[in-house]
Amino acid sequence: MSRRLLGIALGALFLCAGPGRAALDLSQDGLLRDHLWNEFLALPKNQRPVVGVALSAGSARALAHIGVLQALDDAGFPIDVVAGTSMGSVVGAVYASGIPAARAKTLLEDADLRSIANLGTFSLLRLVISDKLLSSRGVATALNRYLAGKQFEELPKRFACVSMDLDSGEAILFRQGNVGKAVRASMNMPGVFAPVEYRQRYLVDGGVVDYIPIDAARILGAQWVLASVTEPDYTLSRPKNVLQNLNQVIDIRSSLMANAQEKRANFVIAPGSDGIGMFQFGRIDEAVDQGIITAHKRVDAAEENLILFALDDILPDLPAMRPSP
Amino acid sequence: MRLSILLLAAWAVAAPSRAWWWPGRQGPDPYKKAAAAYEGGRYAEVIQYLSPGSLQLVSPRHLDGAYEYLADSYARTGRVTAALGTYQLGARLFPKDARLLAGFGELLHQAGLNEQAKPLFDAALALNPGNPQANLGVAEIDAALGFYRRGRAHYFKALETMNDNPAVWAEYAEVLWRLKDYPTAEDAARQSLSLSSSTQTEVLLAFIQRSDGRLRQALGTLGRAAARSPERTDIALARALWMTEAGDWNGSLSVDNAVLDKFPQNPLGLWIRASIMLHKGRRREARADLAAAAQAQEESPFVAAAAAKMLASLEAPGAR
Repeated sequence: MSRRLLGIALGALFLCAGPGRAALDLSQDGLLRDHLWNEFLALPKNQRPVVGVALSAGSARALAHIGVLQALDDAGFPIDVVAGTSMGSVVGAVYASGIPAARAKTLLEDADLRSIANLGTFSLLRLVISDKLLSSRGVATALNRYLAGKQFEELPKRFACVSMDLDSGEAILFRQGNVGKAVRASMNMPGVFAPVEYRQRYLVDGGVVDYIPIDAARILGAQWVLASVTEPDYTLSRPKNVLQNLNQVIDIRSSLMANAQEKRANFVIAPGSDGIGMFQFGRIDEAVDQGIITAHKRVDAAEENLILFALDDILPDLPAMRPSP
Repeated sequence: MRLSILLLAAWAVAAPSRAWWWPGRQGPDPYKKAAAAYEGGRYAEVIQYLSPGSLQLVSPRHLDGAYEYLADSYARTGRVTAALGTYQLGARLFPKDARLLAGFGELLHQAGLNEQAKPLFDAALALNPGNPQANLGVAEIDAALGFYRRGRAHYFKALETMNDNPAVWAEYAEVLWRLKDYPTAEDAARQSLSLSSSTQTEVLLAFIQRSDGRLRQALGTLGRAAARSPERTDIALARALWMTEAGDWNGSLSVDNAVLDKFPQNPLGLWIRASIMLHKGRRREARADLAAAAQAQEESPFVAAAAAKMLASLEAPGAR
């Protein structure tokens, strides 16, 4: 664009746009949303719908869930239950243990996910050369260290994660027992990690059968479910080797499944993947930032959706005024 | 020979700054006059003093400052194209001048071009972490994107030098409010109000007090804001809503009716009156207001949706 054209465009922007800072929303919608949200948050827990979040699979991309949870925390969303699949289960387990989203990022950054998941360059090279699947044991060990070996029942928020039985293709829902072990099974990527043996079953990554664990959140009791979906954008990818081709197939299948599943959520927040590759855990900052930016843009709409869902609970005069059946 | 060509090229590149020492220079250095005009807010004079010809007379010691004054003066007088060109040239000639980079960033930020502004602010902060303009720019961008924690740190830094700026204190207060740090948010809002009275900041203070659980005090603050700006329908409607939160249904109805007297079809005004009527058990009147509010899908889609849902809920007995 020439300097003059850019100048004209800038001039027009000056006329119609502010600097885009956060500002009080005193519009009619903003005022009503704020009022009803305040009333909703003041309701006792047993007099409002159970709020759940479902965190999708998505490998390194799914670290964006941390940003989504942080934006929801900042908005005061009362999250009662959390369900996660694959990397969503790692983020979900940490969050459900009571660690705030803002701290979860630091924790997972320090943990060096790539290393604990045994996905370093040498491991991947060994996988390709020796045709021997990697072990995901490090995930359970690390999570048990961070969560002090907690059982599901001990977590402050109800939590579940999904895995898949390699023999039957069934989705296996974990909501009891050791959290670290269950999360390991949930993120046990087939073709990369050896199946986890658990109660006579061989378990692999739940993302194969349940990319967005919305049903899992509902089984935990959630009446209103917000799905955070880190759907891959495979359309720009041009796979060059065996592993990339395999990734591409997984991404396409995941995307199709996500499209079908997200319709069952009450509300969807979908942070863009921004080209973050499956194993690029080092890009955690970008992923989390993307999660915050996307969720921040959508949080007002999410509040409105939940308010409308819970309107009868928020306005007790409403049910009282219904005509008798 | 090669050396002389290089020297000649260097001389040519330094063209804008050479005139001050070149024997054939045309007059005195205009920088001091331009600086004085700038400090006095006489931006048209700055532009006059630093015309393309005069700029060549500015000493290289002051040339970066001259570009900054000139570009900012163009921006303040609405000559955006000229401001953009001057900042671009200035940033190219002085890529290590944090103030020029921050000023350029500010121009883009004011136009809402945050993606283009952010790298300039970051570059300015890399050169001078204390640059107030860049800190403020980054703080505002961070806050707008939802990065409240980062925003807070940059506002804090900006306020080290901009502590007499009420607008910056108010923005800082809002970020602290969103981070639920209510005592500090209130201090910042009061600091802003002590520097300059502002209805908007008083409203913000009321929101902070309400979030901190002091609804009565918040209503008092909001009432003062409403008295200061009686034409502000939004403040009146906020008061009416908050009065229902405080259980003052009659007070709310009176405030709301005053709005509806002026704007009978105001969707939120209708919604508020409907909820008051519901509370009083006057179902028929509530239905009429809700039906009218539900028509406002374009003006206030959420108010309309809430009204429609309530209307449907009133009609349909049984479970949700």
